[in-house]
Amino acid sequence: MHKNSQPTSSSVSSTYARPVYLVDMARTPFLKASPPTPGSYAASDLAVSAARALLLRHNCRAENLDQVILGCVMPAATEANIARLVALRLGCGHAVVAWTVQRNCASGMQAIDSAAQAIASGQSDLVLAGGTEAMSQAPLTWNRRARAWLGQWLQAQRKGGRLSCLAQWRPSMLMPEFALKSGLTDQYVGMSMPQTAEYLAHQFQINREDMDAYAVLSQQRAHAATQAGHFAQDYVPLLTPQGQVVESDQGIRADSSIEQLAKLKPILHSKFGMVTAGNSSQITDGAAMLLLASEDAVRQYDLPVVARVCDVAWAGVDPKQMGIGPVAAAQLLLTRQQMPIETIDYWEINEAFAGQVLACCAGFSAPEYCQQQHFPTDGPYTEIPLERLNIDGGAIALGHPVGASGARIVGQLARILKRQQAAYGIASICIGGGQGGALLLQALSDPL
Amino acid sequence: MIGLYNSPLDKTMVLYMPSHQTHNKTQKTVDYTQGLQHWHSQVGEQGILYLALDLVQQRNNVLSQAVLAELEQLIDRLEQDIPAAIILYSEKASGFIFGADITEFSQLSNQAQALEYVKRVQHLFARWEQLACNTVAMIDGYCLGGGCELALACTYRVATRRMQTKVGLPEVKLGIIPGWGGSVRLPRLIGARRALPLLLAGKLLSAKAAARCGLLDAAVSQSQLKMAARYYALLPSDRKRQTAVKQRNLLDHLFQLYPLRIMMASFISKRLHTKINPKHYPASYALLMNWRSYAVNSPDAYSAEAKTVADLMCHPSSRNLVRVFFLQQTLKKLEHAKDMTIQHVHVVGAGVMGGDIAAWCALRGLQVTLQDTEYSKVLPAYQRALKLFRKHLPKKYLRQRAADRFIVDVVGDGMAKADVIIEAIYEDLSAKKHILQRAIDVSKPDAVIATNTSSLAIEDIAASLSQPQRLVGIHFFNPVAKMPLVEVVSGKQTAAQAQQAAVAFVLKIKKLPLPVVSCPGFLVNRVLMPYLLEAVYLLQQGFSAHEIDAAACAKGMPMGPITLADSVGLDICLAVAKNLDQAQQDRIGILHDLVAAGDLGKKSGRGFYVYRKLQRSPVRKPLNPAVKGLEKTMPKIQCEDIGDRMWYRLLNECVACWGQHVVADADVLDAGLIFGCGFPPYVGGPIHYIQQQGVDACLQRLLQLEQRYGNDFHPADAWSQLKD
Repeated sequence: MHKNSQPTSSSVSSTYARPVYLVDMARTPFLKASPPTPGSYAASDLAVSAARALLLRHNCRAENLDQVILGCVMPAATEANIARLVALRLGCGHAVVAWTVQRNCASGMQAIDSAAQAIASGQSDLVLAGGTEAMSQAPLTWNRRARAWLGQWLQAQRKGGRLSCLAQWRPSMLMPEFALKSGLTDQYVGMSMPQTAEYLAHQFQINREDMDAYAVLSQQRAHAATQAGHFAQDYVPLLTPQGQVVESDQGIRADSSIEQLAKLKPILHSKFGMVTAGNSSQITDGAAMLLLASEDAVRQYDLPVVARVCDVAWAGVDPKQMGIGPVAAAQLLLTRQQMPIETIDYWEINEAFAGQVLACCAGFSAPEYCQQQHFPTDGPYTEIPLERLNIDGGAIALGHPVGASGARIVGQLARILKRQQAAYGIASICIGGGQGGALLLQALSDPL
Repeated sequence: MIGLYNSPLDKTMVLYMPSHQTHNKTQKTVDYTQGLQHWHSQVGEQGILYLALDLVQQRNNVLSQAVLAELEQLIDRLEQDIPAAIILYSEKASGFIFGADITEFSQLSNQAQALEYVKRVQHLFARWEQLACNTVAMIDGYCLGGGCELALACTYRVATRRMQTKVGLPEVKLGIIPGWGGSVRLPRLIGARRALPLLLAGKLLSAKAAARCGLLDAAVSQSQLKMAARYYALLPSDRKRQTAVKQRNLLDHLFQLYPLRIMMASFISKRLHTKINPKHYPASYALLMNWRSYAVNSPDAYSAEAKTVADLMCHPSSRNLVRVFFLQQTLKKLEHAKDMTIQHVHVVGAGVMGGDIAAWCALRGLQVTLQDTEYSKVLPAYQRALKLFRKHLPKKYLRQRAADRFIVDVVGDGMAKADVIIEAIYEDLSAKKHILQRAIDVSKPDAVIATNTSSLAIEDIAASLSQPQRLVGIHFFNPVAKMPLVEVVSGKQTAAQAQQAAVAFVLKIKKLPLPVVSCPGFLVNRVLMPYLLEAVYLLQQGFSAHEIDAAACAKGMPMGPITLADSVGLDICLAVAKNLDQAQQDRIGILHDLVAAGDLGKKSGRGFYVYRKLQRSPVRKPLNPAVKGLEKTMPKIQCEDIGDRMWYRLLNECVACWGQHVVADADVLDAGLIFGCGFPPYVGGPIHYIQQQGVDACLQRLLQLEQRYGNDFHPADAWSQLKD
């Protein structure tokens, strides 16, 4: 049993004026983005599937929502303000406002933060928040030279103009730009995400074997959790027009082993790099939706409560080491709440890369590093034990639909806290561009 | 709607009008509609006359005698004092003009009277057409039949692109042809190639399609309607005739020429024969022959049209089709819970019926949750639903919305939120009871609790439920999307409130409700079964399946009983037959054999006939070898009786149902048979048929059949109460 198994609402000095309750969560199975993909869902399709099942479970109707907030990094061109589109498709009606947030990998968590603030301040009582991403639908675009040439061509009026335009055409213009690839590259420090992971691993002297071992652990945990039915409550299976039923996450490999992972070629330096496809998060499609409510809404619609959202903290870090973001954010959160790190029963650190998660674990117990990076903590510096971290697996096994992951880990943590009869948990996530986010949850065992 | 933002004298319109455009005829002070009840007019900017039709104390605009008489007065005044242009519109929210007043048809007792009536209106429309100014029909909503003919007599037609806007000449569906010049003006306007298919099938077009084929000059959004009408009204009126014929190209001109026209007519006639029987539905053929003889430019075309309509109006086929039209209206106006809000339907059981019911409800705008034990079981229903949406919804966003409304709900969360809960699982009493009890427990107190059972008695299912009065039967037919009728079954325990709520639901999803009393087979299956079983018995006796089907089709049934049994599913036929307990099992041995062999009909690829994929309705379907073995040569007199043997078993059962008050009255029974069994509409319904043919004559024939073929043909008791 945990020392904090009997939570009292006064034990955390919440920064919120009104308590914010997490009512329920639903998510789609995470679909592998690499072909052959089942169906081809737009990000809004995924969010609608998850959210309508979520709303169906409870007494409130779509039109009772005060707002819909959705995180999405790369909505399709047809999904401008995707949150509004989703709200309308859910049948919320014209009056329910909706907006989209984007904090890169933490977009889903940002949506929850924004929802929590709206509820805490008394602006809203019932908010649907979450994240969605269809990475398989990321566009291929013409490159810059081709776009410029095309513009010229369209403007050229005279035949001579067209002719000279034609002469300027180069085969290189056929080379498309991959939006996904550009999106996964830090344009300020010029490093791709796997490069930042290699850099971080170097900082903490984490080697390939450690990474692969952690990746296998993640796979095994996700598999075990699926088998035990821990995700069943959250899953909203997808039916495809082609006649498939997707009932569980596609990325999980039950047979994953260190030997097999060792065979994979590193992404960056095929001879001596460390980050491989096997020890990185997978590129996937998926949506995770959460229902957040004020005390008034909980009573009005007779809603169950799973947890209380206590606080959210954001921290900026060196973009080259963006993976360490969770440490900075969690330390800020704990300092603000004046909670010793030991009071946290379970942790979720989003697994962008196995090396990055291990670096975070080590970072919590590295005073010199934290001080050098000016992280906001006075200690104590305690390593997070793996038994308390991502116990139902993480993005290495499940996949990392960038907009959705931040919401997924919060929901998953709430379920874990409840199941383990624990009190406090932190869900944290690293953010491309050099930030970290951390969210403190307090489990609630009794209905209000 | 026009009334809302298109008041004919819209202030903003006048405000933005440049002053130099002011027409010299603006100063007109004539009130054209003074003293008229149904017509209003106002002279607007630049002397345009805005002429509105707004029938007093009616929901819809129709061209009744009174309206037409007023139109005559109006035209008199217009000819005296012509305005700059006329824009004709409706002030009804329901649409432009629904056509002639069909209720008046029955007052025309003979051909001469009908001819006079038609000719008068034809003359009126001709005068309207020849008014010396531009006339524009400004259409929003339905513009049908006579209304469309009036629009065709206008110089220009503009309409809104709303879904509710439909334009067309559906007269052949009432057994007549357009009689006020429509059958001449439409081919003249858009060419015979495009017009004849529309006219012969009585097809209605959306505004967009109508504009594409040239019937409309423009299909615009509601906000642009008035501007479009004004634009055409103010075109120089000498361009009037030019634009009327601009749609016709060389090919259309060629088809006007005598020899080509004859060839085309005979070609179309042949195609028509494969679809409808000229003896049963003469209207389309008459229309085609008129075109063949007179084309569109001769004045004889109009008089031929008038004569044809007058003849057809007195033909029993038309009288019966008009009757069917009114029967349909009767069902639509049945007493129902008008104030009930129906937004969410929960369907339990994602089989063929459950899945299709759910898909239909989603198509009709309801939120649907479809429950079954596993996702994989719902998958086929989901795929069929997507197919249905693709077929019925023209736009991608509409299909997406429908798909968003269709929610797979394995847990059954939707039950607590639904306004209507329909159980459509396999026919098992205790399983049904279990689900329905749960529905009663968790549902909203005023939700409709319904079962789609076809063979169990409502009372038996309701027996041990905690609130039996809430249970009502809502019996759909397969295929759900095509069958217009839904039986609303009241058990003895069913509360009137529940029944009326169920009727409201059926109307909400745009089906025709048929209230019936719970009895084995309800109405439709009960009547259909003796007919089908007689067909199977005939087969067993040695008649060929093709002959049996042909005999039924000769009576006007849309498909033969053997084909019908295959499409319903032989296992279902057998189950219903057993349930009705009226089948001498040895007589339908072949049915048992086929079901045992796994030949279940179309769905399994083989029933009485063999079905192959990619086979497009062949003239003569190949027979199942097991059935072929039964065929032998039969005596001639028996061969002549096969049609009547099936027909009279059906009629006899109808009379029995009528006698036992399974439905409220004979009209409702007729409606049920026409919309539920495919009973030929031109006959007007079984009871109506018996009364038309003479009760005694029918009874004699039945007694004769009883003598020849035994007890199955024993007349029901109620025959004695039936009067001509």
